[in-house]
Amino acid sequence: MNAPKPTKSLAGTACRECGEGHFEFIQIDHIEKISNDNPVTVPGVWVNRCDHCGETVFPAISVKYIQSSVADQTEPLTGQELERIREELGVDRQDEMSEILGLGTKTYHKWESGAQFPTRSMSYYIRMLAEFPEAFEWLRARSWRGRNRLKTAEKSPLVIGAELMFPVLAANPGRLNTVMTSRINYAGVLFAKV
Amino acid sequence: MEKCQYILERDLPSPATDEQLETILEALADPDNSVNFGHSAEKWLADTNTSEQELCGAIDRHIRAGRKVFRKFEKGSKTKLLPDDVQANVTIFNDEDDLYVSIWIQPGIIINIYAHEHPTGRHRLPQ
Repeated sequence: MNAPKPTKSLAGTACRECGEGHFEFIQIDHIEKISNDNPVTVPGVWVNRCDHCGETVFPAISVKYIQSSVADQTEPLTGQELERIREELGVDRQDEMSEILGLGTKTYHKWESGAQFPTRSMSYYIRMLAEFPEAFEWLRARSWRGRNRLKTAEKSPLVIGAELMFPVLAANPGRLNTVMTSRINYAGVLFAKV
Repeated sequence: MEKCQYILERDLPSPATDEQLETILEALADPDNSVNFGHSAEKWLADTNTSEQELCGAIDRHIRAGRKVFRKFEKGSKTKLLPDDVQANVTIFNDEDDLYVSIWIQPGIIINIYAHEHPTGRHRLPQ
């Protein structure tokens, strides 16, 4: 695929970085560094580059081209693929999927909406779960995040302190948890003084 | 985490003009041909796996919501304003830190977006 060329450029504009050169509109072989992975070379990218200091300004369409070229080589899952996999695995809600995968809800939502992309390793992991639904069901049954949250709440000295201070609420763990969520700092201060 | 602090009102440059904001919105409506990204912005997009539409969309939303956009002082000056530069503290994702965005407006409706995370210890522009 040829790199797309925008209709407008900075050609001839004075460079403000060095104050001495001017921008040229040229094609370069761009090297994109990717964390925890080999760099990816994207050939023929249109950029504005200063003929004196090398300051480079990327047209939006070139950034889009770089991102899609990197995606071709690193194979991240797209939002549509993630949605399809989630539905095939029988998960109705995004927050449930994020819980099972051990992610923040917003992180998973950004991936499925296409605002951000999962890393290559996470994409491999989710593809493997899609390929082996029994592995996904095993993970789902563990419910690690949910259990860890409960365990932390049960063991927390703040909760123990709150139970001592609010015996009526302690008889109703659900209510105590709600109160704790909104008043945890207050309870913590009181507990520290006891 | 250190609580962020904002630049005092008396030290702020004047707000961007309506004409500058109009030009930016017009460019953002046709990003493929009218928007450029400086090296810092391109690197931020790559490092955070964020699409360029998301950054353009966040700037568009920031302006349309009437949030603050300021002009920029010339380097080393606290009074002389650059004619074609504006800056803002833009929220890209609600659950993440804001991004410092600087825009250089070119004749012929091209905007050049520079963006980076806020350096530690530096005061931010109010939103």
